[in-house]
Amino acid sequence: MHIDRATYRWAGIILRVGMYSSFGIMLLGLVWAIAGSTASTPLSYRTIPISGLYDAMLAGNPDAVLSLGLLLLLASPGVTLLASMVTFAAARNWRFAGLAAISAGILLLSVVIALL
Amino acid sequence: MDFWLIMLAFVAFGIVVGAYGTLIGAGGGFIIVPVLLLVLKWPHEQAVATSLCVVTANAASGTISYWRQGRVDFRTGIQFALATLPGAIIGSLAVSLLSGRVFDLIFGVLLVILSTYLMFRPERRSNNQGDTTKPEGPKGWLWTVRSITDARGENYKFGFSKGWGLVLSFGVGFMSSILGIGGGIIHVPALINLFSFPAHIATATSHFILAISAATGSTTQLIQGNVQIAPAIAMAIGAIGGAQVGGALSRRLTGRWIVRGLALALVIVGLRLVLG
Repeated sequence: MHIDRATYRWAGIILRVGMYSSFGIMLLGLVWAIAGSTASTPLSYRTIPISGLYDAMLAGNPDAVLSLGLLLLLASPGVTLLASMVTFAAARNWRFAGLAAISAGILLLSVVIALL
Repeated sequence: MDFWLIMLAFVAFGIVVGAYGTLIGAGGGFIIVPVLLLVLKWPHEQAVATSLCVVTANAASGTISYWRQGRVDFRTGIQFALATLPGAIIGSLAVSLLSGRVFDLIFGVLLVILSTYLMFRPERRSNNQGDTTKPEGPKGWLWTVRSITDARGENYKFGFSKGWGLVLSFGVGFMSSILGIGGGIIHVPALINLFSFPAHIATATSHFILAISAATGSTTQLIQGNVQIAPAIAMAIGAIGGAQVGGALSRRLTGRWIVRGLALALVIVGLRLVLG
């Protein structure tokens, strides 16, 4: 059996939660977009910039819901890495906790650089 | 054509890409990018960014399927994923030096030769039990033995040089940046042929590695606004479903057929490079 039971279990749970919730949000956004789209306001092909996501959500823009779903989907592997870091640390497997932390750190750094 | 019909076509395309990509342990960028570039005439930047999002969706969904089957080697996956990241960064810096026509031709021909070898290579005695004896000399660098029992009770035992595996992953990251693909189609055959990974473990672990490495690139692209959201979501929805189909198919196919599917993918990439 797998020696890292906790890591294996949590990685699967987080990936599943991330996948299903993002899938649900994207579907919701899609239905909303279909219901609200007219010839004069077709569904946008472009994402809403992350800085404008909150305002667009408040304004009731279905594109914002779609963007949020996609963002959640892309964040799932990163959150899985963070969870692996915690489970490895809880098992006192410091080497793998460190490796997971470095991977998650690089992912986070790329996001920060993109935001600058 | 009607907007929603186009979206439906993207969903169908995503299903095919997800099923095939997951089956062979690749993200499917090797199919998506050429279609978006050559058929739909999208700008390169948007084609790669949108493709990366779909690859992430496919890899994450495929990882769930393989996770349920108990075939993902997480320890190896995290280490190899980490090694691909610096390779990808250096590759992105070197892309202007190495992406000439001569490089494309040489690498394209090499991929076609590799795919021919994979298609006709002699079959191993056992797909599940590799040699776990540590070789003498540099071949045994950081020798690691893994024993994984999947959800069906099938045991996979194999040994590999983790040191050379990290070097390989660095190279995969480098090449994926040069070629604009996820890298699964290079990682999987190398893991199977050079590192004696059982095909099912190689494809599952490659998918996990891909989920992490593609998430890095696609999140950056999404933030920068290069992703075409409607097609990306339509293809991602298709790929999420298709990945589950690919994972289920993988249970029914032997490692030999998975490798043949991989060989076909290599031909596609090789010919794309050769034909320009």
